[in-house]
Amino acid sequence: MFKSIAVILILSGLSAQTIEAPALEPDPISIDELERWGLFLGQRSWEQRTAAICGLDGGGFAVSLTDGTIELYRQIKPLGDPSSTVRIALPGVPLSLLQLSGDLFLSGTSTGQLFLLDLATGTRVKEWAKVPGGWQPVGLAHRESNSTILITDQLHGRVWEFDSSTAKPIHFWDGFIEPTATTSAGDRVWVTDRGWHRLIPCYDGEDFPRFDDGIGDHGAAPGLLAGPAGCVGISKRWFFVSDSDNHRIQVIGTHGVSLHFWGLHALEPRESEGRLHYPQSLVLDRNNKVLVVLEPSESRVQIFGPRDAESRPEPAEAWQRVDLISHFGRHWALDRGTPGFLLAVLEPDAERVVILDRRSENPIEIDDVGGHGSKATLFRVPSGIDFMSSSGFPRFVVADRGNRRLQMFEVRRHPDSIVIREAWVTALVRAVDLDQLALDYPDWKGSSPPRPGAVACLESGIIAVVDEASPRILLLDQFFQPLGTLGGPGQLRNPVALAADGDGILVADAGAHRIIRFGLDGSLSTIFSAKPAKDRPVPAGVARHPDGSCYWTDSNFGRLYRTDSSGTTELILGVEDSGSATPTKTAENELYRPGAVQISRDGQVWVVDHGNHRGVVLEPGSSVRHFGSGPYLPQNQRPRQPVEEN
Amino acid sequence: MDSNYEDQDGPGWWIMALLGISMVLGLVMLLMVGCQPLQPALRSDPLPFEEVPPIEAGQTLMITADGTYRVVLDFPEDPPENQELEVTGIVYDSEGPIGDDVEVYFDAGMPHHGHGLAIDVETRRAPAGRFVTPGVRFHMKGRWLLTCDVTRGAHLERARAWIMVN
Repeated sequence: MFKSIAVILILSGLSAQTIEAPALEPDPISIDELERWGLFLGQRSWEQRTAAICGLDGGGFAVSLTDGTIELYRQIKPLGDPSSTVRIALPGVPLSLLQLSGDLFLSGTSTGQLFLLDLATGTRVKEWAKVPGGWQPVGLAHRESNSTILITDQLHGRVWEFDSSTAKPIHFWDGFIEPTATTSAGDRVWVTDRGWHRLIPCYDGEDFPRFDDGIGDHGAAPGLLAGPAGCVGISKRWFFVSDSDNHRIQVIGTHGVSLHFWGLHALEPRESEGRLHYPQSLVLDRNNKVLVVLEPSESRVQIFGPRDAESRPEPAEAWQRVDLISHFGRHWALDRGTPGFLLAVLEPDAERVVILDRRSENPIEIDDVGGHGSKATLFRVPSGIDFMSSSGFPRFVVADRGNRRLQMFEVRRHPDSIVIREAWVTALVRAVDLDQLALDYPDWKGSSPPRPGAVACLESGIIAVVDEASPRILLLDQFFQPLGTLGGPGQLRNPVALAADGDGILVADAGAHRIIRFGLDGSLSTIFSAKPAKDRPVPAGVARHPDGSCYWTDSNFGRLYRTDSSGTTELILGVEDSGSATPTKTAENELYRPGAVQISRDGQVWVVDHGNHRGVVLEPGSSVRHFGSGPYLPQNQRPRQPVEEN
Repeated sequence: MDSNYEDQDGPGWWIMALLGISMVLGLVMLLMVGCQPLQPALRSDPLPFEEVPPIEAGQTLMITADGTYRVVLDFPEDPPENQELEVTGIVYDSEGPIGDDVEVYFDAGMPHHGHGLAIDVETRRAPAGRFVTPGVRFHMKGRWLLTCDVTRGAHLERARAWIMVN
């Protein structure tokens, strides 16, 4: 009897020892508090576009603007005026920012450089580090567990680890599609990837990230992500993730569970106070217990903290969305038929191309194609589109940056058919893997695989595609066979739009602030070139008008220009003095972050007003009409609100 | 089998004719503008497909949009609902059955319902241009779209056909 009791006691003691779990390290911010995050605490916006933010030692944040200005905010709760402002001239546009120590900061630029800046003296000290084959340092972060710096290279899809004191590379993880930001949690590095739509872990000693262990996938339900653009570790177990195309911030655990999220697409143009619009970089200020959220599309930051335990969020913010919000992207194309009747719009948020019948005042959607993935007809970041001039059913070509390929589709719809939505009248014709094609075609070889961007299809059947990796223009025939290249790093900086122009190609080069024309023989002529100035245009779209003039958009200041054959440039839409713009920037003559411009055979000018989620059409008689999202239409075109009865 | 696919789509002989004309014109124009660096890889010969046999009962012909490939699909006249079947076929290019280095992927879906096959399938290549896709199950009645992707090196082309599952 006593023996049995003794055995039971011994066994129970052993089992108690066996099942004892190791004590979990307490989270610096409790789960209860994380679940209440989302209280709007303040905001600041700028006329100049915001480029990057980073945290500061001792609390606060720094923000860099596209003109090289860096403002430091140490008083953050409530948000005060900047404690200091410095302007340091940088080549290109800043992409990332990090405080190295004290007054020393690192800034990555669109020219593929990473500079050491001294804010005390307002000088660019030196190029801090370089890597073979170049890079595009879009994200910078300190690694918590040691004295290293994580650098997100979007050019090669890598994350580098550098020694912060010697500026020497230690290691890199390879194979990302479009990495956007990096953070660390415990002994792992986590990377947001816009191509995978995941938060992906990387381990020391491994060369490739563990993509299959990534958190999230493309979608809108909690735990899924659409265009993740920023992340910051809260503890070893929790992150804030900037779920950009879902316009929200999620609190996600390393186990993949979404603990909480907040944010809602702005209901009115430029609305803030908790409404989010394409949030990107994040800074967690642990001293002040606030999260700083950068929204480059609105040139603003918003600051959030935990709500009081007694208060509740707005019911609308607790909605659990399951559908992706669809917006007009930056690229669209008109078909070239006679009569032309189609408009095809890239919607990167949903990774789709939407095909509309454009003959009515409000174009009618007749089909869409795409979705997220790598199988044929799917996309991972559609990045350019144009209709071909082929006879028969209209065909268009879509560039897919994430999958590094082109796909050609045919819209099997007669112009005289009934205008109804019909699934899959849009058929895939062919696709080409540009990565593989570059290996087969020696002239296309480069330091990195092609990253296709804007597309233009010439009357002759030649297809021109921007290679963002080089930068240059790749030429193919209508069977996607390589023909050659145009331009190169000396001639192009950041080409963002192309347009067919007879036996040449118009190029909107945002990096060089100019509009140029390449002949197929390699000749180059400048149509417009902006001198350095505070309101220097950043071209985003270009097209040739039947009257011989050239229309182009300026995404930075929301303008549409026309340059005639004599070189005279006039403002067509937008305001010359940004101080006279309306607060919402949605008036009839205004644009906000416009993208592509396309011109129909009969002279209609179609501008995608990307930042206002609307289309703008200039009729040949100079009248203007708008279509798209109701709240973003000009006042006189908005749907009437129901009048309450007394 | 008289497939009811793509009747309205019809990229048929007239596209081929236009293609031929555009090829000739394109070459002439390129010579005229002195565009020597750009050598278009346009086909100069018609695509005879002499080796494609006549289509018999229980077979469906699918043609890729530009006519590069023809797919002779062994496919039942009345495909069963919710039963597994093995889809086989032969892919031809203008010179005969495709080589073993060419990949083929067969798939199906119901675009009007927004879904594909309930169970993903894999396509296996076999000699003499043949391919085999086991485990195809049309899990509901209605109009299905069959697709056949033919990949040679970097280039993929698609043929499609509509069928009815009753």
